[in-house]
Amino acid sequence: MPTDLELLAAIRLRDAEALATLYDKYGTKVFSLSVAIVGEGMAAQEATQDTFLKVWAQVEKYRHDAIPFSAWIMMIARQTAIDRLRYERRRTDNNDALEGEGVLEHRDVLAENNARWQDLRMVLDDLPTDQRVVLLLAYYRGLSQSEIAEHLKMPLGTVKTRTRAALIKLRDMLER
Amino acid sequence: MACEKVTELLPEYILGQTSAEQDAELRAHFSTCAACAQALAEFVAVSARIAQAVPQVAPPTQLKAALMARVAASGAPVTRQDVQPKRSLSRLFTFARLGLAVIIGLLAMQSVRLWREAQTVAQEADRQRAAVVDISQNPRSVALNATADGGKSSGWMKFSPDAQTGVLTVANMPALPASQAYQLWLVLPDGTRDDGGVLYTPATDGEQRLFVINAPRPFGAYNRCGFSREPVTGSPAPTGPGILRSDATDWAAYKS
Repeated sequence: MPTDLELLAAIRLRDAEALATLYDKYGTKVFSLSVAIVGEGMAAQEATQDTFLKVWAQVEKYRHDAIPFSAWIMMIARQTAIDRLRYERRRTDNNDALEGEGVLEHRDVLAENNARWQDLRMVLDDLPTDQRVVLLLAYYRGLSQSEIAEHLKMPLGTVKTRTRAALIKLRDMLER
Repeated sequence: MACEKVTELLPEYILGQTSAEQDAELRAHFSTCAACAQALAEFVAVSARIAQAVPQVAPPTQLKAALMARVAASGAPVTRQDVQPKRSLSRLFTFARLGLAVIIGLLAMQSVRLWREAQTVAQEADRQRAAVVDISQNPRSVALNATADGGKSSGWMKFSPDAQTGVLTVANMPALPASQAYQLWLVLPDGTRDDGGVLYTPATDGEQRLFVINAPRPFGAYNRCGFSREPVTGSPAPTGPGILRSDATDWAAYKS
């Protein structure tokens, strides 16, 4: 299997097969994150396609010395799915299902990834509830800090403090 | 922007909660401040881990074909318009379009693959033709002689010591059942055997065949070659009896 950098070099030369190989490698991760953000259905499929099309179109913007590609593509995937979610929200005026704790409830978990998923989920579960809810609403629902403050009926400063504390705690836990 | 302000804004930046103006200032700062760039990298790693903290769901099988169809249709870098949410298409039309995209994608991928294969085959044929012509002009050759199991078989090989292409002819190798084949081995001075890339199953005694050999290393690295009888799928190392082999002295004389 070629490395990410080899695939990106081929994609710069407009090699569609390299993009197909990249999809084989990251398709499930991107689709899973899309489903977590926009739910199952066509929206998740289109968000997944759009993520890889952005990689195809914006590959020149990627700097391998700044961040790993695996992180870059997941940032694109999240932003793409969040954009889709905001669009759907505007379209339907549907602001339901903003509960942070409900964000990660999905079925159809691939059995072979269960252990890894449980492992990562446990990291999030280690956060205090108030920090976790703020982080989930920001990360998986794309809410601004003002929107979170309004939704949770708490001061903006508290939201900022909790978000920051959650990320720092995760960083420290992942470094151990 | 000062480092203290950057540190304060980092969580919001990672979560996409900063304004476009703040993003521009932050990016400018990261390009000149190694400490803040390092802090950014740490939070990016956290973000990537959170992204994977979801149940892993396999995408529908047709999604890849639909994606590749859009890539093939774009032909050029995708515009922003292409990645905007679709606003007014009915679900029925979306499905119809998806189906069509799948078909176009499959055809496009097949066409690209066939075209590439044809190009590769043609280039390889040209390269081999030139090499074979060059090698064949050498009046000398290395003889291959039958072992006790080889019956009346015989052969010869020609190559350039600094090249990896060679020409081999064999004749009268004993016929084999379809489940078996003669496999060519190229032997290094320490006795290590490289697969010579030939699996040959003569249906009758008395056949003659010419093979173009693409060796894993330049022929000068080897000091002899030989065939053994193996399963038709080939073996990673010889398991059956030797049939036809060259002599190391003859090979060394040819190389000089």
